[in-house]
Order: sequence, then C-alpha cells, then structure tokens
Amino acid sequence: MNNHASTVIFGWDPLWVSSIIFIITYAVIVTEKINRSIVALLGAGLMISLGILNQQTAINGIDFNTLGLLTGMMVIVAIARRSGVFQYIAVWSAKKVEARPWGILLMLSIVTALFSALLDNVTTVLLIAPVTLLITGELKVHPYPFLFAEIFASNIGGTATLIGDPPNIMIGSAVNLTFNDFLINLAPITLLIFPITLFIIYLIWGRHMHASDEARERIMQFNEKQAITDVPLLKKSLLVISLVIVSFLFAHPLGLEPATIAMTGAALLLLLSTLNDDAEEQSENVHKSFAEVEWITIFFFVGLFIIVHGIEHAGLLDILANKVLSLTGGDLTLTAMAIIWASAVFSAIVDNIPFVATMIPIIKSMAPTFGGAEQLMPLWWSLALGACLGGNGSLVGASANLIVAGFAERSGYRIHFLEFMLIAFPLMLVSILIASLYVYLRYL
Amino acid sequence: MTATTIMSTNVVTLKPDDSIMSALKLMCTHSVHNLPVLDKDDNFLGLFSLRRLSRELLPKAAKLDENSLLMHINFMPDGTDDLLHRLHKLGKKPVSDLLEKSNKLRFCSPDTALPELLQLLFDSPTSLPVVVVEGKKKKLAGMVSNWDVLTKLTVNLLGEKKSPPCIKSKKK
Repeated sequence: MNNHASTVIFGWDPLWVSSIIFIITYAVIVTEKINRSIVALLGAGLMISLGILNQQTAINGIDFNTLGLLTGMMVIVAIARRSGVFQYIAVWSAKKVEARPWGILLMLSIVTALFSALLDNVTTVLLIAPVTLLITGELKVHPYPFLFAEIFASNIGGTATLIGDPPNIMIGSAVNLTFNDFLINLAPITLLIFPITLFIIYLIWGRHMHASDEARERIMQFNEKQAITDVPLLKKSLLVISLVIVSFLFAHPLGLEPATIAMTGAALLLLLSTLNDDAEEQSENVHKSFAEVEWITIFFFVGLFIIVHGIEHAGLLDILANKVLSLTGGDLTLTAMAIIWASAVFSAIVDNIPFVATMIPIIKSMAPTFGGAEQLMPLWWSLALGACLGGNGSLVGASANLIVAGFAERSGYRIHFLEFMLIAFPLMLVSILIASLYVYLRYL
Repeated sequence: MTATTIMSTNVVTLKPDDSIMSALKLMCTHSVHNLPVLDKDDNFLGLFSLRRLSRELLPKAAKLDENSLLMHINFMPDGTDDLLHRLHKLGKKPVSDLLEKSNKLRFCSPDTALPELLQLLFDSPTSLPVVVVEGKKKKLAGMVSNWDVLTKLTVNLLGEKKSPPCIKSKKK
C-alpha cells in the first residue's frame, strides 16, 4: 500500500505523514482562524515538500475541469451583473405580487432558487440579499424570514444542476456526469423539496406577515426599468448565458467538458463587452472582471485537491473506504443511506467542499465491491443530495449562508448561530428524509 | 517644497464627542468637506468627512460593502423624508461614530517632499486630504488637499505672486 511513495524524508511512513497533514489541515480549516485558502495551500505544500507526492503527481491531482467551470461562470456573472439585470428581476418580481410580504418572500425565493441552479449560490445571494434587505427595509418588515428562505432556496436550487453547487461540479467532473444527468436525476426531487420547505416557512412566519398599505405603495413606486444600466451589455450577457446553458444541455453529444463551455463563454463575453473599448479601457475592464473571480475559493480547491490526492496516494482513502464498507457490510442500500445522512450532517457542520473532495475517491474505490463503476450511481446521487442539502443545516454549512448572515448583521439584524440552527437543522433533516426516500425508491 | 510649506495650518478641528450636527454647522460656515478629530493633546484620531456622511444617509441595504457598490439603487423613487429622518437621528451622535475608515486615509510627515505628496493625494481613493502628522502619536501638523497644492503651485512655481488666481477661492 505504501510502495507508491518511497521518497518520504527520513524514511517516515507516508501513510502516517500524509494522514497527519490531512487531519491538521482540516482541523485548522474548521476553526476558521486562518483563511482557508492559505491553510489548504500550506497543506498541499507540505504534501509535496515532505515527499508524499512529487510536483507532477500533485498537479495531476488537481481537477482543472472543476476549476475551469467555476472560474468561467464567475467571470460571466461578474460581467453580467453590471447590466443591473438581477436587481431588475428582483424588483420586478416584488411588484408583480403587489408588494405583499409573503408574495415577495415566495417570489424572491423562486428567483434565488432559479439563479442558484444556473449560477453559483454565492453569487446569487450576493445579488439577491442586498435587494431583499432594501425591500424589507422599505416595507418595514423583519428581513429574517426572507433571508432564511433565500438561504434554503439557494442551497436547494443549487442541488438541481451540475453547475449549481461546488459538490455537484466536483462529482460531475470526477465521474464524468453531464449537465443532463443532474437535471434528470436531481432536479425532480428538488422540485418536491422546495415547495415543502416553503410551506413550512409559511407555517412558521409567512401567515403572520403584514405590511402597511403605505409601505407597500413605496415598493410599488420602485422603477425596475431604471435598474438596467446598460442595455447593450444586458443583451450580450443574456446571449452568452443562453449559449452556455444550451451548450451544457448538448455537452454530451458535442463531446464537450463543462470547463471548456464555461471558459469559452467567459472569453466570448469578455470579447463582446469590451468590443468598443480602446486598448487601455479594454485591459482595465478585463482586469476588473478577472478580479471579481473568487480566488480564495479557487486556490482553496487547488490546495484541497493536492491534499486529498496525497492521502489517496499514500493509501489512507482505501483504508477509510474499507472501513465504511465493513460497517455497511457491503450492502448498497445501507451504504447509500449512510452516505446521504453522514454527508448531510457533516456538511451542516463543516464546509462541504473538503468533505466531498475526500468522499469522491473513497466512493470511487468501492466500485469493485458493488460490481463496477455503473453500480455506484445511487452513491453519487446520495453524496450530492446529502452534501448540497446538508449545507442548509447551519449558518456555516455553506458559503452562501455566511454571506447572507454577514449582510444581515451589517444592516442591523444579526442572525444568531443557534437561533438559525434550531429551525434550519430540523428543516434540513426533513429535506434529507425526502431525498433518501427518493434515492431508495428510484435507485435501490 | 515640502508638506510644511504647502499644508494649511490653521485647520478647524473637532473633538471626538462633538455632535455630528455641530460638526456639520462648522463645515457649513467654513465651507470645508473634511475636519480632523483630535484628542486633548492635539493628536490625530480620525477624519470626519462629508463623503462619509453621504454614505451614512443611504438606506442600510445600500451600504453593505465598505469598498464597492454591491447594488445600484437607481430603481428607488425620489424622496427626502427617510433621509431627513436619518440625518436627524445621526445629528445627535458624536463625530467619533462617523470617522473615515483608516484604510482610506493617507499620512505624511512635515518634511515629506512634493512628489511623494502628489502621489499620496492621487492615491487617496476618495480625494480626501493627506493628513500631516508628527511622531508616533500622530500629532496633527496640518492638512494638504489638492487645493493647497494648486494654490501653492500657482504662487510659487508659476511666479504669479501678485494675483494668485485661486488664493481667494481657498477658504481659510
């Protein structure tokens, strides 16, 4: 098992060295005392400099398909948001329901879920939460139920597609699943979980919501058309976003990987949006768009991929996989249920990205036990559903939750960790219950 | 030509517990955009600025990010009621509640040379004046604004000593 890496310094056992690096890095990430990208890169640096991996093997462990897809979509959104289209849709939808509070909550949640399915969750809440706080401020209603619903909507919407949530991007890339695979297998169940979640939110808060006619009139005076600041840019952005999504739908027959589609889309939108600029403006605008990419997340991924590749290389993941299998007795149903519930609870407490990064090679190595890679599909859907939906369980479960909480705090409404968890965790368990029934009935 | 020659020295100053309303009145009378806030030993504590005030008058949701505009609020209708209400509430607070963030400020010492001074003024993200301070405790020596540079430049470098074009428009 340890014969892959015989060059570890001082002749230390690579299994032990890599496991210690892995545990310490993950422990430090959980404490959130040091920026997670720094921790991951340091851990990755140790994996290489202590001789667990050489640089080339380490680079082979990085999933550039995931990175390319994330970066490409981030660039596209960075440009598209400048047109004001997201504010337009948010204000338009609030006015469509005559500014009734529950109606606004429903509309903004649906908008959030849709955007989260097609863009990433973090970007979606970055766009929706400020408008929400503005609208609830003018309505003079408490923003908490709205923000709570949007957190759930972003994570549920993100579950539905390949590009909606980082765990799906990683799983899709590692197992070669297409956009349509996710649409066919995960989207249907989110269409059931989402309304049930909204119904429970209605029972808790929605039925008591009230806003004065005067306050509603103020919202009705909002002029959403003003929000569109750049009509040509809007048209270009919508063109490119539609092209990208159509390409995702036909990626399989076209033989295209998601990263190619997203990065080419990003390059096309960069070209279209800077067409009339002179050289200096052009480089300034391109720089601005690249600067809005969340490099912290990207470098976090780079570090994690290398760390996980290190422990995989040293044999730790095989040991963990065997442990899981011996606990479930090699039974597919039991293994799937264990994965969906364990990933839900884990993802509620810690960031789901490192968890999924570790689980992917573990599940892959189970293929011989269950009779081939095709037999693993229930496990992949369980991992995706557990990790994505589990993010709803607490404020730290997903980056989007933290961003919403940060905005709420800065506008004077602090969301308390326990107060949120008291309702969010049980509500998340309801969604996992529905999801595990779905996995059981459809795949097992 | 160093900061000492360029800076305004008879600067109107504030104490940390002066009310925002009284600071605004001072700014009105002296037609200045920015006032330094000093402790009792004349050490620089922060800068009270009209720029910061404009931000404070916005609805909370429109100022979630300190450094960038997260959301344009061009879709909001015109109206002053809420603004006046916020200004009224704000006026009673002390100026120390509403100082420029320190990362927006640029400092120099009295012997800082003109080229560096120009660079600091240019680098200052919001056209705030450069604060001239001495020593570790940042004792206020003066302030240099783009106006100070312009007036001194026209007087000293262009040699228009008799009728400097903008010396009158610069308020004392």
